[in-house]
Amino acid sequence: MSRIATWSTCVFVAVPILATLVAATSVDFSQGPWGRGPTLDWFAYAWPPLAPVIGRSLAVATLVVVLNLLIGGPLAWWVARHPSPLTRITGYLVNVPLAVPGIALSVALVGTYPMLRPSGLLLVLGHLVFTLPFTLAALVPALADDELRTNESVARSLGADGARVLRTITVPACLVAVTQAVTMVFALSFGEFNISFFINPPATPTAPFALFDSYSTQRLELASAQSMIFIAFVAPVLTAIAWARRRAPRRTP
Amino acid sequence: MPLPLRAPARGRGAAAPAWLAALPALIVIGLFSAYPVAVMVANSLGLGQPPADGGPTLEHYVRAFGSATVRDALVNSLLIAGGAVLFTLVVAVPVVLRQADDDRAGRGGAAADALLTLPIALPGIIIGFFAIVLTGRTGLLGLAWDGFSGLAYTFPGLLIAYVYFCLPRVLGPLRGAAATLDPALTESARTLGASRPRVFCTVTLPLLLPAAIEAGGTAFAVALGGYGTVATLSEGVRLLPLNVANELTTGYRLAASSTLAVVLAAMAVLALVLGRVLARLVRRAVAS
Repeated sequence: MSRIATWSTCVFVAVPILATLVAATSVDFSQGPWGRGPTLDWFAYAWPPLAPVIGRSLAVATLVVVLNLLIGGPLAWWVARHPSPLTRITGYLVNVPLAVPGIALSVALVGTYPMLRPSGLLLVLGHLVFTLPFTLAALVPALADDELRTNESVARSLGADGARVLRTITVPACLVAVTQAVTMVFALSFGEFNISFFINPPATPTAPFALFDSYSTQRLELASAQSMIFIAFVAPVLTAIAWARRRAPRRTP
Repeated sequence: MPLPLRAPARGRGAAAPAWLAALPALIVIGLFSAYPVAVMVANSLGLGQPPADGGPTLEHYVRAFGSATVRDALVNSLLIAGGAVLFTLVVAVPVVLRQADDDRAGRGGAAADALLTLPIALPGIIIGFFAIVLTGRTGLLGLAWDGFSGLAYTFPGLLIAYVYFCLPRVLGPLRGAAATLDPALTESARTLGASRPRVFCTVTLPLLLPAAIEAGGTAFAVALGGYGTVATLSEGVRLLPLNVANELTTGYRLAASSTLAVVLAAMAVLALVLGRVLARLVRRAVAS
């Protein structure tokens, strides 16, 4: 029974992706799968205009990941190591973008900082506040680990300085958590559409907006090819997420 | 406790350096998350920039709830998000139990694992597009049976698209809960002569229920605010996020848009809180 459920759920997830691949390789999809023969032309048409947009999205996602580690890392350290009512309030505050729907946050951001929109700064900052909760969710439990804290204080009492403890004890111990945070943040930023809707610089859209535009203006086959290219960029990141999840220690009470 | 082992910081305040590390993040969160949300609430109450808004008023809310299209969108949103979450939970429970068994036995399942996580990395617009490819007017499934063509733009079609959207968001947290279930409990219930369905109803389900309720609340909040999927299928059923966006894209009516955004956010927060509270109540009831 549960085997059938798992199997059919996998089919449910896989079928739309395969169908989109079929549409992207059909000369005329309205004539049925591979109607009037298979072709790779749609990919050839889709790639040149999409390449710079994908490049821009990769750059935004990379920047958001770096900013997450730079400001989210110290925040996670503070929340994990100095628990107080203040860190609990901070925890709620960080999670605001999870509770407030993306499109609502987008309205809020554009209503407050319209002048930051054209440069793309508002987009990066919007992605940053949206992804910070995921960084914290991954890093705080890893940094709060008792064994790690004991190892750190042993190293420190043996004379290692702060930078050395960070480099040789803390970062290696948190590697799986950091991988989890980095991949999740990257994937979320790369595919972010809701918050970006009003804060995305109109002249230089990110990849989801190029897709959204194609969905309403282009042929189904071309839009399918663009979607498959997008999925191809997300898939390796996703494999890393699945890997990190399997490596993450399971808490068994 | 490793705490006393740490050497006290000498020459500098013990607390100051710690919160200083968190300061950049706190400033960004304050300026770009908390403050804009506060401004949005103020805008919805007529407390925005003076030329457009003149003093505190509930007029925007009265107008929003007085509009039939908004009320319809609101009901549709609740039905779609609620229906999708319920359906997803029913499907997810056997899947996570299977995965927990496989994990315990050390059986693979890596491919299924990656596949079932995939939709979390897909933006809502692609899920909407999937619906068009399969059940749009020239959709693939429409060739098999005519009833499938155009389904993407109907209520059941949108519901299925949202199930796809919710699936990884429910499977993830529920899987963690299933992994902590003690297999000895179900085994002893079985050896004591309880039938498989009985064990499921009296042992497995009550233990899994709190996590299911909490995951359901979270998924409901996310589905309620999901904009991409319905934006791609916007010629069909109207949901509330579309109205939020429309107020801004068709003539920049910030106050009206903010009002609907606040309504949407309030419902999402309510779903999250209800999920947490109910989960805690059920957990307590099961434990006693």
